[in-house]
Amino acid sequence: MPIRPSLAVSFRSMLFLALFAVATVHAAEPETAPPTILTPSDAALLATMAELTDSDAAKRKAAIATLGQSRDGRLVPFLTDFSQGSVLKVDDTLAVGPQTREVGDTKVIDLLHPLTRDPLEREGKPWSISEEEAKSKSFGAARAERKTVADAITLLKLFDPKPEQRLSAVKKAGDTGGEINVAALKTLQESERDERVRRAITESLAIINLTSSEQEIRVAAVKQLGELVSIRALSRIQDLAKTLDGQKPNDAAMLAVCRESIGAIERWQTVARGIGHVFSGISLGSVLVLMALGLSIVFGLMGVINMAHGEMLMIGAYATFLTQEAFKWAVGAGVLPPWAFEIYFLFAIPMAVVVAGGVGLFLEWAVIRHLYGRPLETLLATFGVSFILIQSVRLIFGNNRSVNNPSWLQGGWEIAPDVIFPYNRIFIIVFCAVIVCAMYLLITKTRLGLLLRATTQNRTMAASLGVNTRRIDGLTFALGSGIAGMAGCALTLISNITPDMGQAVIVDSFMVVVAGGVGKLAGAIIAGIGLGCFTKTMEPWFGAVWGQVLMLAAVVIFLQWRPSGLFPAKGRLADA
Amino acid sequence: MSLSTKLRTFLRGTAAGVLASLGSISLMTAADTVKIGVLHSLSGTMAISEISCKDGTLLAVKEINAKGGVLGKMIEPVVVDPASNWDLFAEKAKQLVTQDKVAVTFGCWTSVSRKSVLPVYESNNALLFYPVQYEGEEQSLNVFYTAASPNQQLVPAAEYLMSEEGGACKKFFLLGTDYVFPRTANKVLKAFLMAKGVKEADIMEDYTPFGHKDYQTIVGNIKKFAAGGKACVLSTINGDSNVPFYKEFANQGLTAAECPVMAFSVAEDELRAMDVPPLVGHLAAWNYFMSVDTPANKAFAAAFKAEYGKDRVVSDPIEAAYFGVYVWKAAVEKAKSFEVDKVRAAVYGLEFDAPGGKKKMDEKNQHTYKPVYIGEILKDGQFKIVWQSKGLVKPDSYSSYLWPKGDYPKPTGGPKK
Amino acid sequence: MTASPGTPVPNDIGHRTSDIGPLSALATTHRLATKSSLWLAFAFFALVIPLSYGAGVIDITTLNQFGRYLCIALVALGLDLIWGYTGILSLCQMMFFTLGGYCMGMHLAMKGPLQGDGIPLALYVVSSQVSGMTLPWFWMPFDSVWLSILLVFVVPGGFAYLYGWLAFRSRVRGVYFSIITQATTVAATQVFRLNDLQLCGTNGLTNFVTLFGFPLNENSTKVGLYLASVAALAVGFLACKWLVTSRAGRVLIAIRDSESRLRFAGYQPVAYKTFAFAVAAVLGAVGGMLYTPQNGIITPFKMNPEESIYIVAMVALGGRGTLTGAILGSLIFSFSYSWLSTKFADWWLIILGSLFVFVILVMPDGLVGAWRRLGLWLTARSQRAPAEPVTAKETSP
Repeated sequence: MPIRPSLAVSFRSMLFLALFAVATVHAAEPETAPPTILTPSDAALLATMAELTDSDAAKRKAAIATLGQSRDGRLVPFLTDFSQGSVLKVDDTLAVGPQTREVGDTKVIDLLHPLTRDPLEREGKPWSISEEEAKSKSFGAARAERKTVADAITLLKLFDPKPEQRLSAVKKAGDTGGEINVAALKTLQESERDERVRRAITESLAIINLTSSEQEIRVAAVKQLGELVSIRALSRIQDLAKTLDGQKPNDAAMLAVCRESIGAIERWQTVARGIGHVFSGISLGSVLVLMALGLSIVFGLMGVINMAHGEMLMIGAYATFLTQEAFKWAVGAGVLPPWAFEIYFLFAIPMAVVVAGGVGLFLEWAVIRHLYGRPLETLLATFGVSFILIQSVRLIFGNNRSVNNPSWLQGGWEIAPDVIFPYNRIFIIVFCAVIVCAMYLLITKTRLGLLLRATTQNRTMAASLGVNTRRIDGLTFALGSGIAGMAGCALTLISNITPDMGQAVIVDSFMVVVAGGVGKLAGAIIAGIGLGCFTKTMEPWFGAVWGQVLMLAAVVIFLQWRPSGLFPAKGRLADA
Repeated sequence: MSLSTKLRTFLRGTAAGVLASLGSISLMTAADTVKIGVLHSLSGTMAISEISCKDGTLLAVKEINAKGGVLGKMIEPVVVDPASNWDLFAEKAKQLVTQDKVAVTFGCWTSVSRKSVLPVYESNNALLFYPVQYEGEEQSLNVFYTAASPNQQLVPAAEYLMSEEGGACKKFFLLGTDYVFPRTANKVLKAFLMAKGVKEADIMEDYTPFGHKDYQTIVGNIKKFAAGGKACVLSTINGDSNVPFYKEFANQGLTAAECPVMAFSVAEDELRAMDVPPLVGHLAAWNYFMSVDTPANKAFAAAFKAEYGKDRVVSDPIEAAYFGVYVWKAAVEKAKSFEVDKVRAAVYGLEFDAPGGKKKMDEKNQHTYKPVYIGEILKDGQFKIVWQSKGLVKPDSYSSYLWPKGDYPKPTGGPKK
Repeated sequence: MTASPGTPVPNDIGHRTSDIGPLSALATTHRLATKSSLWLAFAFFALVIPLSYGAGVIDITTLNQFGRYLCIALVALGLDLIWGYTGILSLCQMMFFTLGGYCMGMHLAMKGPLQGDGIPLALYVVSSQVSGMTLPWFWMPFDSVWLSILLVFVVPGGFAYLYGWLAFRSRVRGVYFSIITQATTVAATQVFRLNDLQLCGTNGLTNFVTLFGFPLNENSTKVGLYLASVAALAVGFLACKWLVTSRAGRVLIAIRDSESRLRFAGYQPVAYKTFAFAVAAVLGAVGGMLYTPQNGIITPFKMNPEESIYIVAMVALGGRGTLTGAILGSLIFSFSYSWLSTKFADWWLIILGSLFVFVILVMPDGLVGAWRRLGLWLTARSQRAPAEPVTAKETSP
């Protein structure tokens, strides 16, 4: 019994705690529920909204403008629906139906209130109509009206309860300019609390001021934008400087201000890109580390190169997909509440471990066990296995499958102006760190780890001391596969799942193992992060392909200097 | 939900596959059939797209057989797997043409696969129907191109983005996978944009290798490029790479409102494999959308779903693969013969009803008259058509932007002398 | 016939056979078949195939297919030399093949249709420049056919020599070496796919018309190329045979079996290994050179890592450490690959994968090994003195 239950449990709970910590931090987006009580002004709004169905184009236009000026954020989804032609008018009642639900073979749409988005009722029951009926009763903006609607939406979004929406609206208003937008921006400036939005408002107003007719306002705007290190304004200030440069006699003072601001913005850009590259490198490195960990341990213990390791990753990704489908089904059937879907990912991780680990265990038992001491043959046999796995998965699932990121992993964290760390990448980095720690504890603190180390160091001696090395081999292989499964689970956050997804990462992770030294955790980590950062730093200069080629060249040159990787095996093992 | 069904289908497939292949050795020599080749990768990197094309072709075959076949003969499709391996494409094509003696072949997806089988079809004077939009600059008398040429997809899309309605874009980021379609497509686009007065500094071009998964650097560049506003991305990114690209795009805070992405290689079938929310609001240009609202199209989609599963969707290449068989059938019936030269002559100028509406084969240049649509991606992975061309657009085999003098090369291949 | 070193020689038991039973007759047949197999095979490829084409039994497509598979067999032969005899598992042999193929392909493209200012059509259609394109300098040498053929030897051979020297010098070996070579072929694929490299990107080289002035679509040219492939394989086989039975060959086998001991005995394994690696690369490149005109196109996809692993599978299937095994394995593999992917479009990958696993688990010394064991068993049984069957286990390191 190699894993003591208590440790296994604590290992798992630790993992979960960490994941939940991440989850809660990022899920804490302000979700202001729209008020459900209709006020008298809402009745007026509804009346205006109803005018959108009018056949008179001028009347419709007026209604759109009125709605745009209303500063009621609840109108944004409605106007979006209107723009897309999916507002419904059923029996003189205005409604929207964003969700299609399957009831048996037919698709039905539940009608929602256009303003509050609460379900509408008829005769005490939720009111729904068939998709066919909905199609005939929907209406929307004519093509020519879409721009008016879009402007109205921008204006409304300035007062949206969600800061993200306000932010993009503020930027858009700055690009469009115009008196209405300036007035709205100024109003918003007084009430705005969110730091990023405040900054964007200042930026947008300054950008609008760049085209002001008064010299002083223009100078102040350029200065301010320089202080804000506004990348949005860079090309505009550059254009301004170019025009000024061309004029004779040119305005030297103004030009100097412009150049100063351009310099400041560009300097910040360099810094921001530098930070971005390091972050990209670490996030790429984390994926490599996750892949290489399992490979490295298995290689160190058994001298086996598992060409099907990439397929373990693929299996983990498909396990994630299956978990998602199970949750989708459960939510659809009403077994689980809708919010449960948001956390399916946390259940997908253990699923991925179990499934990939199980396949690994089977593979070890059926194939690899019979090939010990013949590493090159194992390489070939596992290559054959990878064929079988890829095509089987393709036949079972077909080619096209999608995994949806939970909403708390979408978007990014803007730590400084123009430096955004996407949440999914942060998650992967944290995830990788947690797994590395767990592996470290497993190897140094548990009985399994002890036996594993003993078998790695001297198989014969360990066996003669009563260690069931065969069993350790099996468990280690399963463990390695399980980690690959988790890597697959993590990879669904940044890319899609295909049967041959493992092939794309396997070669790079081999490189990590080679550079890091076989069977060494620290080697895999340093090499993974190092190679990730190296590739990402080279990429902007040489392009993705040459970045990869340079990485390979670097590894080959590195091996000239340290033939057995960063952390070579010592003593007797060295020539094994 | 339907895993057990899947498993059952899988097992049934196993049995059927083995039986069929055993049977094919002995039984399939009946004289009242006509063989056609289906040459799409069923494994390897291109399988993701090509399997659906094969399904489209086979659906048409099944329908035609159910209605009595062609000239009284049942169609017997010979399906082979070139496994995304270009050499194997040439080999399989040779096999289809010289050993199986197929009357016509439907297949290929990538330009390189088409180019590698071209010599086979030309030297044997056989016929290939090619169902995927491509870079043009080719006209072989042994190929009928049932999908778009550049002027039926690229140019209208760029025009749309430049229009007031499309956002009056002034800056264009041309992003593609590094192979011949994006390269030539961008060559055409660049020539077009510059002819329209876009400055060279406002056009940026970038390419990534096949299967590229890490778009952090490139999205960073786009962000910088788009920071001044009025920018858009014209994307010829292929297959798998689209998902990481759009995810990164959304996560780094770019939105369709600020900087729309116009895709030339993302259709409904690709969207099925994607996490759609990051893509909502972005655009794609095609000659067919599943959402084209006609009874014929609904029937087509329903038939496809009935045959291959409820969660399957149809897209432009699938439609092209599907109606290609009907075009061939109509031409055979018009020519009253399966002979390649007669069929070819019968195809020219042929008018026909495709699921997406009436279409027409060009009188001379082997391509197809098609309507152009621009669609906006919706949450459910479908497209909402936001613009469509007035009537059918005439196809150009060679782009007039690259051959301004009109001195196009002569078509290759054709009847043996 | 000299048996390959390290393998048991069954014949010396055979001639003591006294009684003539059915088993003994079988044993004799087996022995004769083994002895004559090479001559039979050579006669089959050099005479039977061309003659049956001449008689109209097989068509030109089949002949062409045989020709291409013989080119692949050349690569397998090279791999057997370094893997079977020297114990170096290289996973980039198809890269050398493709390099050779590109050298020839560039020449063929230069002799094909030209566009603009003497630009081969294959290059012209993929270039991003609209006008004013000039021929890149590195295309210039390929105008001459002899220079191209010379480069087929020099480019892959030189690259392999340098690469091998770097790797072996720092004692990269075993699985490490395999992994690095695999990464190399992946990187090479990526690089050759770049359009900016002006080697035609993913499309590869095509639009071939003539070689030595002979039109490639003529059947006579195809027969000529086929015969050239047979000759190249025969010469390659004899050269390898000579090499492995020579003194240097003994050193190679010693490297396979115990490199450190050899080093302690005063030998320099690096030089031998590098040499063998370069020879294998050149064999592959020659295969590529002959393959390209027969196939009509050469693309970077031939460098994909799995292509090289197929070669390894071929050698494993035939039996490594035996040159005949490499050739036999490659031919069987090529044909079954082609046949399976036609007959079982959905299932062939699974069948192929299972075959891989089966061969490695059940037939560790491949078909040739199984054949030898059959011979031993027959001989032993026919003598009614069941001796301990000598397995060919020694052949595998």
